[in-house]
Amino acid sequence: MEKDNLKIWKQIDNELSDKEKAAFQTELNTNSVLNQQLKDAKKVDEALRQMETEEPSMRFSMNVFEKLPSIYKKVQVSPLFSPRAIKLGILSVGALILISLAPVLFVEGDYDITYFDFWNSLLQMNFQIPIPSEWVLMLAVASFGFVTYVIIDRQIKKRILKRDFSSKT
Amino acid sequence: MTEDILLIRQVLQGNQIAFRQLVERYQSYVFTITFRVLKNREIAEEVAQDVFIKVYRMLGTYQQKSKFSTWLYTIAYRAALDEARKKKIYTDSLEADDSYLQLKDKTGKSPAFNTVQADLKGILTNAIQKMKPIDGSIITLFYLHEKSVQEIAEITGLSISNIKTKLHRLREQLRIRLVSDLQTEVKDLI
Repeated sequence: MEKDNLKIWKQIDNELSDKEKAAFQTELNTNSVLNQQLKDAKKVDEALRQMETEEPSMRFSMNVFEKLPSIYKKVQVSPLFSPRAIKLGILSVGALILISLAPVLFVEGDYDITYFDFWNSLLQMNFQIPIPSEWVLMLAVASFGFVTYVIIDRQIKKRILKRDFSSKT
Repeated sequence: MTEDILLIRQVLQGNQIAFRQLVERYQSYVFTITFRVLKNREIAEEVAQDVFIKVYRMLGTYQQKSKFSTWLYTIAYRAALDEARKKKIYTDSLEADDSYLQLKDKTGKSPAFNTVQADLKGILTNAIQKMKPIDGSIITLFYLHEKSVQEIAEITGLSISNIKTKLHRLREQLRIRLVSDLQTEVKDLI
């Protein structure tokens, strides 16, 4: 009996050989119960084909994208300073250093030579060019300020865009 | 070239809008698979989301040996099974026999099956949801996702003959259960 019932599904799936089909058809003609079972099975098969998907929540795709920070960064964040601008900034700082050093190369003065003493001892060289500590301090502050500004600005930009992105989606 | 492949190429070229289209196209199907296995909407949704993240990261490794949907459902099915095992939520169900689908005592009918105006599709969906995770997934993949037996074998890791046998047996059990529980009401419907 069970084998007959499984044959019903093989018949529906078109998996019976010609010989098996003929035998099954003969049995159908004489077995009204099997005939009814085949009809029921076809209806079940039809109903299963009309089955619908389960729907996730409305936030599904948004949640996926929130879990993908790399996507978000690439799509949403255009940094205030492009890599080109950052390179130019670094070059500018370098130029600023050279320009700031220029006067001390040509102008004599009463300079604090502690800075050069340090490098002379470290490199075992004998620099004779004194640099005023005010210049060194000014350059350090300018460089540090520039780098800090770039970092803070990028972070602020990211946060603003992330907030806007979340509210839009 | 299928639309999926076009979208995948765009994603790999950095077009994230294309990835959103992929997510929106398949989110219901992936969620249905994880829900069939995990039987809990919140957990299933969480796992389905993680599946898409994994897919995004692994998209470069997709070699088009099978359909994208088959590749995607394989990841979804295995992720859901892993989650079920990890949380030990359905250990009993995973190892249980098929007795839940056997003919029940005529007096012990399920309330959902006593509804005279019951919707056959709804009843079947309910019955599938009560199946073991792997059985419910096989029926879902075959009918809802219109996957071939070979593709289902690839997704589940079972043999083709095993899938065929399961499909015959599960649908027969569904038929017997429906006819038995709904009696004349279902007979009117079908």
